[in-house]
Amino acid sequence: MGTFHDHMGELHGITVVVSKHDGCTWIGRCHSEDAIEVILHDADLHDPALSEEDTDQWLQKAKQIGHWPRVSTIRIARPEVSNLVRLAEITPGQGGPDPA
Amino acid sequence: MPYPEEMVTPMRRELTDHGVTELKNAAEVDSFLDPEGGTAFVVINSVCGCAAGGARPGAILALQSEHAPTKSGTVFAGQDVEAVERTRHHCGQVPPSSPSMALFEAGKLVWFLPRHMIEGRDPQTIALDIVNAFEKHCAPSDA
Repeated sequence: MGTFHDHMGELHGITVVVSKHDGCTWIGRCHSEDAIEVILHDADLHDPALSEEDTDQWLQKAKQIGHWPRVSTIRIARPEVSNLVRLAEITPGQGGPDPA
Repeated sequence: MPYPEEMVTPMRRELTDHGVTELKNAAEVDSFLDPEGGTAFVVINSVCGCAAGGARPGAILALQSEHAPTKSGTVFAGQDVEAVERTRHHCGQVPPSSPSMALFEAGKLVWFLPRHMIEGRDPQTIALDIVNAFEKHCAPSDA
């Protein structure tokens, strides 16, 4: 069950985690996702090279209390995406570029 | 920009008709979250679909539980900006999201349900999360 905008796809309006092959991770409210790109609103980025927290810690904190909406809209090219999952469904150890 | 009030009124009344107190400004929020006031449950309402489909009916269900908090209140995101900002101030380091819900004990945040734990979930499942928090924080201790 997504939102009332059924024509937008099941993830429209849902907060998702987008893991990238380069190790960075986005959390945001999904606008749309297709073979070209994933579009997120009210998003936040975790770059392990710039953060004191590892990806898993950052994701687990976001799952518990939410994420900061630092970026209004971000378009992520689909070839850069290694994983796309609902934040509510993330489990410990699932963060990172290529989850098992 | 706020939505037209005539559109939002039914969304407010869905909660207030079930005994939830509407908080419209910072002073009302501060008074509601008075540290001497016991346990307080706050619904941060919104116009989005997951508020209609999950948050409001889930909160109403949960408030029928045996161990409901001393009082329940609501603020409306995007409409009552001052009240929402003050509520978020009381939530400390919790990022803003709406709809969402918070439970306070003696004025301190003890539990929070962010938007992503409401999205796409049915009211009964959301109510169960809330009731579990009520059981933990609002039920009399066995001492």
